[in-house]
Amino acid sequence: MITNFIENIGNSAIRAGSSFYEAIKFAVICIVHMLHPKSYNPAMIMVLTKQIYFTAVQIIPFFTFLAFLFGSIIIGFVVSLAFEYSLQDQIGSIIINFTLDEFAPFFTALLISLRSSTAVNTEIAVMKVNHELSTLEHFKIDLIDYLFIPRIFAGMISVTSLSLIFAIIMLSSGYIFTLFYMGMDLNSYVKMLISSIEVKDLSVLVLKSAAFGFVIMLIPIYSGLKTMQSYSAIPISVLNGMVKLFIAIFAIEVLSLLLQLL
Amino acid sequence: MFQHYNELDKYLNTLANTTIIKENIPLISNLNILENIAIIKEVHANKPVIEAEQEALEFLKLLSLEEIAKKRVPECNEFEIFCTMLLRAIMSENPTIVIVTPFSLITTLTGVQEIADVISKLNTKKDIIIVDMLNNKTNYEGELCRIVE
Repeated sequence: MITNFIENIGNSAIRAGSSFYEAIKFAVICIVHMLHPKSYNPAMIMVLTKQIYFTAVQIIPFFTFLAFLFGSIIIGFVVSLAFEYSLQDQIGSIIINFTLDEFAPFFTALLISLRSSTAVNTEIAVMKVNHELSTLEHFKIDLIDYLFIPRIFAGMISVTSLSLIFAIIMLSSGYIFTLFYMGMDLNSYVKMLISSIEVKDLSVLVLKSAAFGFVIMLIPIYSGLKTMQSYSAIPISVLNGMVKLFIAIFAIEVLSLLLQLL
Repeated sequence: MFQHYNELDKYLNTLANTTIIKENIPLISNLNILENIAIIKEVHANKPVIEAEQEALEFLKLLSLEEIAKKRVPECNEFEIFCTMLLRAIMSENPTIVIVTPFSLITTLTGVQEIADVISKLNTKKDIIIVDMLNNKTNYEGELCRIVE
């Protein structure tokens, strides 16, 4: 019984390890294709444009509303805490650090993964089951160049740009609370934010958002590709893909926190 | 004409530089008809989307099917889907096109002459071969095509 238990643990570890290795290999292949000029053709550009529209543009009104709602509440809470602990002189850097380095990219990544990653995972899985992927292969259309790279690029561009929008909305609503708690006028608030902002904060926002965007599309694509040849396998594929995606998002968040601590 | 499906599959596997039209090589469902045809030239000839779609539209006009250009696959009937598959095959660089079991692609097909009419309207220089099972032989008898068993 103990032997079986140990064997099962070993088998699971081997399976998880080989699956992780395969996923990393797939990511490397995609990155190599992304850097190759031959990967870019009018069809690929068209898919990229459409994907950016579906992932970023279509969601802007709803995203702005959510950013204002959650951003205001959370920034209000942060300002009130800073006020409570007499950190008024550091309020600028607290708001900037919290908004740009942490909350904006993370919240955007969660929202986009819930909306677009599920769609992409299902789309690729359905294409696999319907033999549409083999159709593309029959016509010598590279799946990575035509299907995957546009989606990955769109993910990176969308998460980065929406994170910036989220940060701007959050910083704007932060003014309401600084006005309420500290009686600060708009001019002083803007000056305070500008003096607190560093290149590092913007770099963290852009790099972290791009990393989130990369995994938000790569993992669902990979999961969709691994779908077995039956319609009943599609929900399982989406479920597995989303679990792996959320693990990856949290791993990036933890990694970025650790890097910032160093 | 083939006796068994595995013979047919074996034959299809031996083909090179050939575009195959069969059920398992369907149209792409998230593209419309025009995009399904134009994609080949966009990828392989680097043709701009507008030019490739214009060329695809001209071919659809030859078959009087221009009204399906912006439709998605589920909105089209079997004949329209078959014509789109044929046009997509014509867009590819391969010199030969093989149509596999056309009577299963278009269940309402009454005779192979309907397909021959479509091909003649397209005025293509590509070699077009129809492969089918021997039990469908009666559908081809009396037609202008040469039957090889």
